[in-house]
Amino acid sequence: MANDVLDLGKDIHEVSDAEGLAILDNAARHYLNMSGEEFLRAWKEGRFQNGSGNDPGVAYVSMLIPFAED
Amino acid sequence: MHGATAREAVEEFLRPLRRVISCVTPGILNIRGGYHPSARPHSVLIGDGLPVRLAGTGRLMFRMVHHYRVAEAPGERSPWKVRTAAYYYSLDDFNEREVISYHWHPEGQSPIRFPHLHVGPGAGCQREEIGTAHCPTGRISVAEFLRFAIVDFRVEPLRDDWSDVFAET
Repeated sequence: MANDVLDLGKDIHEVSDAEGLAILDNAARHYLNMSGEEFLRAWKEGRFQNGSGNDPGVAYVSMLIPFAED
Repeated sequence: MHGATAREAVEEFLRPLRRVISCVTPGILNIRGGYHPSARPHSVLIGDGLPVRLAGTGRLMFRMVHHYRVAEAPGERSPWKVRTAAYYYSLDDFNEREVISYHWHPEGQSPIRFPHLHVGPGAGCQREEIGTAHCPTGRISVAEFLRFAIVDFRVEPLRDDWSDVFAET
């Protein structure tokens, strides 16, 4: 029987503002070769709406936007 | 997932999520936003957002982002509830080419609002349409996705009791 206990301090980390920005920035650089800031600006301007909805990198990085915003 | 408080509901949501993920990776979960009701969804992510290497002869990597909302469910015994708002679960090969991924992002900029799967270049499928197809699915849980990875994609579980963990989830 699996009866392990969730240790919120050890198993779950609540990221800070800076850590959240770094997560988005790392992923944007890794998958899209742009900074997180550049990605956010392009996303808000709708520059990914035409055709790039099929780009798995865009789809994935866009899911990380909440990490960079309050 | 229900709770007497918003925090308790989120913890009840995170506990089984962490347990099923511990069957394939020791990586921690990072959460943002967390424990309170809000118009914007909260997020939970495995590791730092880059793919996590999985054990097994399938030679695969795993990415997961899950969005959720905390909402009050008046009239119920445990009045706080966590609801899934979006997800992205992916298996990639060791060259980071996506093999298969399940998405649901009903509030994003994409016109594709229904849950779907993508068969990526890492799957080696030659048919042209597959690269851009959004294959409709029902909503998929992390547990269903990881069971699929273990059973069908030769991912080696890290825990002997993995089938118990999945059965309980």
